[in-house]
Amino acid sequence: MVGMALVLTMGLYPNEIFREIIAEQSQVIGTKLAHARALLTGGLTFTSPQQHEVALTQDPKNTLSKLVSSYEEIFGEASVDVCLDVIKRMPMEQMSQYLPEDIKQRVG
Amino acid sequence: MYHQLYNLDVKACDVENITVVGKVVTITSACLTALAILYWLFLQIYMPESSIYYTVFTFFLIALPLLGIINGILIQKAWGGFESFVGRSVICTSAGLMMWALGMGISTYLEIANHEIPYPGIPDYFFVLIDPLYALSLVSIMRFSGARTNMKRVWALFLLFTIPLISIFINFKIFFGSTDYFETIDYPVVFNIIYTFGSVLVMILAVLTIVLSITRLGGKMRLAIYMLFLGIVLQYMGDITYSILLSKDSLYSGNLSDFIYFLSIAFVTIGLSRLNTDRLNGGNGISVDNGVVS
Repeated sequence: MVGMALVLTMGLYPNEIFREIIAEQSQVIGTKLAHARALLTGGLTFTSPQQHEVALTQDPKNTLSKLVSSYEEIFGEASVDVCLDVIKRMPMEQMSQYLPEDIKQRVG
Repeated sequence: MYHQLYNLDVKACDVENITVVGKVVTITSACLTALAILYWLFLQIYMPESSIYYTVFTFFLIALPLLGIINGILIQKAWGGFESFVGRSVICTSAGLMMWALGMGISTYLEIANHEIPYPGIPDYFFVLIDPLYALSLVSIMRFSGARTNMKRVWALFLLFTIPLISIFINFKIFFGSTDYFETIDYPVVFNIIYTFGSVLVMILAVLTIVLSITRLGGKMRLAIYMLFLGIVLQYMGDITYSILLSKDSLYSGNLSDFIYFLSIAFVTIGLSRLNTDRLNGGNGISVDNGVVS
């Protein structure tokens, strides 16, 4: 039972990282703009826009880096803080492999 | 031509119309601001005797907030309206401008019709809502300006304690002087208390938001937010100037407090216009090319 839960949880990443960041940014800047900025990365598509579910089409690390940069353009470090706060809430051991180096350093 | 964008039907003509109206409003706001500043300088230099020249200035205090409201209505949509913190701050700021326009409109009508403007009068029922609405806008701004990140630091906790105390003390001294003011509690005194409460709230939130955000706020929308901050601070400065002139019985249309209020409205209006998401690289994700939305 625990093993199955672990497998299910591991299967959620890295999409869950993107989903949570986009969901959080939607609360800040609105769903339309949050989704538009995410699509600008060119590395994901939305499978369920209402739940912010995405499917990655390119390397997760590179796409995550572009996603954070895309939001950074709006309010600078304040927008980056929103992304980092989401990442800090997630289990590091399961998602660190999907984090670019600069984000890993900032998350600590 | 329609395009389904996440269950939001977007007409190509709607996107074009909003952009054109927004540009017209922004340019008109800038021109009106320049014209008002020149006109106020004219009043101070030439000091015409007829009061009608000074009453004309109040029309700027009505027209500019109206333009700001139009901009706010157009812009809040791109930020998701009430759904998002940015949208809420735009809506609350626009509502504050609405109170300005309504209060000033009624006040100007009463002045032109040679009616005595009682205190508190109908205009005050609108003016008294400006500060609380700006305060709500600041609360939303705190949620996306990076203030929350710095709030976890020790020096921020110190500010959270000291700034409210300093604000209450300063506002009490400026607007009431001493406790003798409260010997008789009548309708004007109650309204003064409500006005001052709004000023205290705005001062606390403005100082906290600015200080806590300054190291985090950046990006293309930074200048827009700083202009909103400046506009709100000038609103407070206008309140102080108004109180000082009132105590000296030196109030008239187009005076220094009116000019400061105008500058406040100008910064808020132009700040709102700069929150246009078209300024971002890639815009808001909706582009129109030969009538085709993509």
